[in-house]
Amino acid sequence: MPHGAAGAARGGDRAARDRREDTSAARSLSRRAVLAAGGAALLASASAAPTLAAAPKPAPAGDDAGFLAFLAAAEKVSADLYHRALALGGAFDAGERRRLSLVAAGKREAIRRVTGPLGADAPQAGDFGTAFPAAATRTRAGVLALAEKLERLTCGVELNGVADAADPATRLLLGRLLAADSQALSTVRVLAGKPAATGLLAPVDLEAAGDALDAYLTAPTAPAQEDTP
Amino acid sequence: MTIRRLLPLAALAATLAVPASASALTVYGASSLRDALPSLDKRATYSFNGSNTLQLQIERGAPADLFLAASPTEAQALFAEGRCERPVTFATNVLVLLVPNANPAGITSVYSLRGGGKKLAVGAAGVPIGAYTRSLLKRLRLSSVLTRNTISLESNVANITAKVALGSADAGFVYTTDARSVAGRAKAIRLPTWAQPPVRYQGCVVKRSGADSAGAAAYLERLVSGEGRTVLKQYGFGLPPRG
Repeated sequence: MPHGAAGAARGGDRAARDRREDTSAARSLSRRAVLAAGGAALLASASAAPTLAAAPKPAPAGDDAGFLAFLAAAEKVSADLYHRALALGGAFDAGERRRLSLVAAGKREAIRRVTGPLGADAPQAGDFGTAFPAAATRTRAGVLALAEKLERLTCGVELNGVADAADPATRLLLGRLLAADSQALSTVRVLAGKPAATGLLAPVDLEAAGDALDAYLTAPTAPAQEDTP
Repeated sequence: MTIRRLLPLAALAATLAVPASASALTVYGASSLRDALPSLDKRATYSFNGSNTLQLQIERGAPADLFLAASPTEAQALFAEGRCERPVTFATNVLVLLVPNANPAGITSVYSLRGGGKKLAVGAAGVPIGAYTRSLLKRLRLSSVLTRNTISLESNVANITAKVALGSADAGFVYTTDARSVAGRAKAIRLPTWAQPPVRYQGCVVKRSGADSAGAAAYLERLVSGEGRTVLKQYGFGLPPRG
């Protein structure tokens, strides 16, 4: 190879190397930039977290309390059902039991979050009891089918509430509960061997939801109501 | 001679003593207790009305010995004012929608009231049945029925029950125990369990000069005993856990 050509080749190699280094530097710079941006985003979200936690306190306006009162009862029914599920010997393995325990804990937290804004009008412990059909709580399949039905009902009312609640902070609370309960719905579907995704949920009005929920509620200290004519 | 002189005095003393010892206990009771209480004790003198009205009368010095209210609000207020002993929960109840037997407005559920144009008998806001009704309607997101229908505001649940039973109102919100008292003339439509406000009856011994506190305490003890619980249950009331 002639010197000139070799020199040109070396020069070309260097240029190519320089270009690679430049590209690599640029890539590394862009990676750094991305990492930095990610870090900033993380920092921003971390600093935003306390803002979310300190979201405005719900002050139910008009009939907003109806959504919260329904959810207080519905989440209690679901929580009781998950406790029954956890008491079913051998129906769920250790990993599944952990997931159900998390869902049950989420239900207890939801009850706390909806009863707070209701104040003196909140249902008290003992106002409601739950009664499930024996067949629905005897087997894994029965429990999961009923759990899915209840989660769909709860999510449907929350969706309705997100659209209709008058107080913005109550809407926000309902939205957050909807996110948590959608997760619970996915969990029970996966445990039942179904796809996690359910498609778009439909809002459920309180009349239909109340009729469905009443089937699982008892009022232990209240007298029986007279028959419907 | 001495005995002869003493006899008229003894007779006078006995005459004076009789009204004091035989004077009936005065019980101020919520209207919804008007059938159950006389069944438990016929000797007491009863005054039945809206619990808030009775509270006001006691605050103004009415001669009540015992106060039995349809919600904790009134008895707790008197307790806080030092006008009665610590209140005791002795019964529970639930709300129903009462319609006349003929049901000319064709009401089949509480949601039938959404359409408006009906005549409704509802408790005034200050009386327990009125407060419970508003709480129930709010939970059902049906507060608008109070503006869409023609409302007559009643001072006690007995008036609401009478209006519906006589057909002067198309429907009214009452306790299930009141619906029992007009069975045959009116029908009860059940209301959703999840939306029922907790209805708790509380009673207290009134503290005032000259009150028969011992008699009132004995009556209240009897009311929460097995005997009282049996009578309350017989009239359709729910019972709180024994405490």
